[in-house]
Amino acid sequence: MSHPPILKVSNLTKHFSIPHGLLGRGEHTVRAVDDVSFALEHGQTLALVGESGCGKTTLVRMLLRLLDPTSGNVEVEGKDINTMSKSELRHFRTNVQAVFQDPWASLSPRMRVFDIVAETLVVNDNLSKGELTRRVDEALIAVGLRPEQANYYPHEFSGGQRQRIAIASAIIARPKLIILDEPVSALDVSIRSQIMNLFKDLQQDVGCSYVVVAHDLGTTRFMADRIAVMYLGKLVEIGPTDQMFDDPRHPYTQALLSAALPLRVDNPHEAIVLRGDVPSPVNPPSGCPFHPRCQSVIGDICKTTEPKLRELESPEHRMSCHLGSEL
Amino acid sequence: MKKTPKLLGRLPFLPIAVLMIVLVIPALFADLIAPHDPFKAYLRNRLQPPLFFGGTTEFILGTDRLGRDILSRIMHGARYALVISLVGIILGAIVGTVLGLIAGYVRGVVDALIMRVVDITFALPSILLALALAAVSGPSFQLVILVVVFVIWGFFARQVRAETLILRERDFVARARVAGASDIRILRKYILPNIINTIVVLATLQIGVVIVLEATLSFLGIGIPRPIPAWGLLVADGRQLIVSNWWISFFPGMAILLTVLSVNMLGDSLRDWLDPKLRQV
Repeated sequence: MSHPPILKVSNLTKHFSIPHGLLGRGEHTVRAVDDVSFALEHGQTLALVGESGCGKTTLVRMLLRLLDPTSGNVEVEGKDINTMSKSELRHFRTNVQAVFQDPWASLSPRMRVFDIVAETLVVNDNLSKGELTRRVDEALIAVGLRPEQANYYPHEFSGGQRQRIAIASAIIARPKLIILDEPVSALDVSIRSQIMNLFKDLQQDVGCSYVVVAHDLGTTRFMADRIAVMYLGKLVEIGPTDQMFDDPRHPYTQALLSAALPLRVDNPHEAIVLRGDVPSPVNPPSGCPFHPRCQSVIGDICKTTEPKLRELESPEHRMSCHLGSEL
Repeated sequence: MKKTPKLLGRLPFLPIAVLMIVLVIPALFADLIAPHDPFKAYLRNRLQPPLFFGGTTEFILGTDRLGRDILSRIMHGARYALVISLVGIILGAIVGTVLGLIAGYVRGVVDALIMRVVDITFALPSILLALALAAVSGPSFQLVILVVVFVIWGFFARQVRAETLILRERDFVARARVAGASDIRILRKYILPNIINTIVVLATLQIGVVIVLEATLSFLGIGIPRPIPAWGLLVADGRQLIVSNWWISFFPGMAILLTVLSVNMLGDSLRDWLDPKLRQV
C-alpha cells in the first residue's frame, strides 16, 4: 500500500504512578495501556471493546494527544503526533476530531451552537464571517439540524440533538479520522440507531475513518469493519468484525460475545459467566492477565508465560492466548 | 435574555429599595439633594437634635459639634462608600480571578505557591497591616483600596481555583483541546464564562465586608483622611458625645448597618437564583 495508514499505533503504553503510603513515599504503577499496536486504513472503522477500566479511554486520549504516552507512538498518516511541528500540529487538529460520550458534558453551556460548531475552523483557519456561516450551516444540515438553530444554546436541545451538535462540530473541518468515545451510550435507545446511521452516512459521504469505543456489541457490529478487544490495558484479540462474531478465538472475547443478548429467542445460547472481577491493574496477575477468570486454562503456561499477540489463519485476525498455540 | 424578568421577579424588593435610598441615589446626586453643604459649619446650630427629638426640619438628622448637617454628611459619605467598594471589589475580583484561574488550570507548583500566598493573606490581620502602611505612607484613598484588595482577592482566588479544577476536566474542555484551542482561549472562552456567575455572587457578598472594612479604617483614622465625610469618620466623630448627643454617631452607623444588611440579603438571593449549588462561601 502506497499511502501510510490513517492511524498507526505502535507499542503504545501509558503508565500512571500513584503515590501510596505515609507522605507518598512509595509508588504504585498502573499499567493503563500496555504495549498496544494496531493500524487503521483510510475509510475504515475500528471498534475498541472491553470492560470498564480496561484502558479504552486512556488509549483514546492518547490518540487525541490529550495525554502523552509513556512509551510507543501514535502516527497519523505516517506522522508521529507527539513530535509534530507547529504547522503539522495545526493540520492534525483539523484532521482528527472527537465525539465524546456525554452530550451534556461535552458542550459548554455558555456558548451558542454556532460558536461550538465553528470552533475548529475559528482556531485553525482564517475564514471570513460569511464563509464560516456557510460552513456551519452545511455542518448542521449534514447532521440533520436546521441552520437557524445555530443561535440557540445547548440547553435548549434534547440529548440526541446535542450529540448531533457535537458531531457537527467534529465534522466541520472535514477530518479524516474521528474518534468516537462511546458516542451513543448516553443516549436513549430509540435515538441510538439514528445517530449510528448518521455516522455511517457521514462516512460514506466524506470517507472518514472512525475509531469507536463501545460497550454495546450491537453498535460495534453495525459500525465496525474490525474489532479490537482490550483486557487490562492489553489488546487480546483483533480481527474483522464477521470473524470476531462468528468465530471468536480468545476465551475473553467468547465470554464477552456470549454476554450479548441473542438475536433470536428461539436460538438461546449458553452464556459464559466469568468468575470474579477484573483484577487491579496496579497488581496484574502473572502470565496471561486473564488466567484467573478464564474458563479454558490449558495448564501452567497460562500462569507463568504471558502470551503474545499472534496471527491466526489470516494475518488480519490476531489474538494473545496460548490456546491452540501448541498445535 | 429570557431570564431577566424572572430575576427581577425573584430579587427582594426591600433590600434594593434600601440600597437605592441609602447608598446609590445619595452617592450619585448628593450635590443636588443634600439640604446643606456637608463641610459648612453653622456654629450657631451646634449639636442640634434630630427631628422628633426636639430638632427642626432644617436639620432632620441633627448637627454635629461644629453645626454641620449630619444628613448632608451621610449623603456625601455614600459616594466614598460606593466608590471604594466598587473599585476595591473590581480590582480584588480581577486579581483573585486571574490568579485563581492560573492556579486551577496550571496546577502543580504554581498552584501551591498561589494558594500559600492566599493562606498568608488570610492569616495576616488586615487592620494591623493597614496601620503599619498608614504609619509609613499616611492615610489616603489609594491605601484604603490597597487594603481592600489585599483582604478580598483571596476569596476570589480560592473559589475560582476550585471551579477551574472541576471545569478543566470536563469534556467540553477536552473537545476544545481537540479542536486546537490554546490554553488562553480555553480559559477565556470555556472556563471563565462558566464561573462568571460565581464571581458576581461573591463580589456582591463582599460589598458588605468592604464597607465595614472601609468604615473601620476611617474610624481608626487610617482610612480616608478628614475632612471627607466617610461614614466611619462620622461615627468616630460622635463617639465622645455618644451619651449626650447620640445622633452624631447613630445615623452614620445606621447607614452602614442598612447598607451592609441589604447588600448581604441581595447577595444571598442572587446566589440562590444563579446557583443553588453554591453554598455559604
